[in-house]
Amino acid sequence: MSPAPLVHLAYPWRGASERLIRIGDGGPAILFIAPLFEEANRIRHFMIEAMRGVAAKGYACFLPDLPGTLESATPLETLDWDNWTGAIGAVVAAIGKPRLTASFRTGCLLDGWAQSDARWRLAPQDGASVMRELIRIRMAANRENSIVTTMAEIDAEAMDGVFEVAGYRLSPKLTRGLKAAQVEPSGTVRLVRLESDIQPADLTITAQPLWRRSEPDHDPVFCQSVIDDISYWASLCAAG
Amino acid sequence: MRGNGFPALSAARRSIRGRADKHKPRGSRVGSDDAALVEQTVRSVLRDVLGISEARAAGFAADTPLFGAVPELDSMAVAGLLTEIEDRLGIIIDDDEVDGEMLETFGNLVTFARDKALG
Repeated sequence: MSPAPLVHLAYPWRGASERLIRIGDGGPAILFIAPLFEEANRIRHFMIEAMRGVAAKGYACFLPDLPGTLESATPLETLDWDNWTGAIGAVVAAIGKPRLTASFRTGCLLDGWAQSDARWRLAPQDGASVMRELIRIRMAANRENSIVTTMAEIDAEAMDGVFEVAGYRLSPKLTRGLKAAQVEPSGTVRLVRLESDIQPADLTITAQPLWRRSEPDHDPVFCQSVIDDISYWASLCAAG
Repeated sequence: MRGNGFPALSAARRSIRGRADKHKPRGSRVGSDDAALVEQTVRSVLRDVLGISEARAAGFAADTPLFGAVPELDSMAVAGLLTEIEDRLGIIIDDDEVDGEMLETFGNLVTFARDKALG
């Protein structure tokens, strides 16, 4: 059997459309949700390969570009947090309720809007945590320009005006929503973490965090563990 | 007030013991004391965030110099390092706690994380 092709689709959003990738035709739907910001690029290849592997086990795998991210033509700074949660709703309206969501890192902040009761999550990161990291990145950039700022000062600025960090321009409504966003504990959740992460998990995988690498990278062994566990969880959820 | 301390680490420790029961033995980490768990976490975060080898991270001793001596640890990497330590130990690190001394050696970073996580 030849591998399922990658198909470029679109979902309607605010009178226009945003890109949606599908791999695998037929079978129960699994909605993949990528991390926000730079981590999305770093593990793009990893996620596509994971989708190929899961599709080969009889699932239809979908991966949306959120408005303002990746290939989207929507300017990021025009968006607020509700636009992103709403975009997940728009994807589900287009593809139907998925059997499972498979979310990576900050993508887990959005899986509660996918109407699926079953969730698979890899190394989730809370909104407050990613905001602290973005603020630290901005502080480091400021220091390189000999500007000394505190976390509190940058946080206050970000709540009040456009927050420029690492090549992104975020509106105050987006940063406020992001800062408050938490990974929803409800639903039937399979929580997967790296073996080196001591926080509670249903499964741990021994691997390096590709989302922390400065350049996009791939790890076929790690990817296969992810493929096997998503497929296992999807089949278990189907069995009820 | 020094972080939200022990309860978060305690949850992590219970988790590790639980994992050992359900999955596979986790070697010397099972039953190890909290201080050793914090040191192991700091070592793992350095390896994970900087992308250095297991052997190199394992070779870090208390007096191994970090900031300024480990080329991968630039100011941008520090942002990821601190955030990842926070998430894994369940603590919050204030910016006025971050200085040259804290990041000077592996031992200083471990001591800081221990004080913060264990109170």
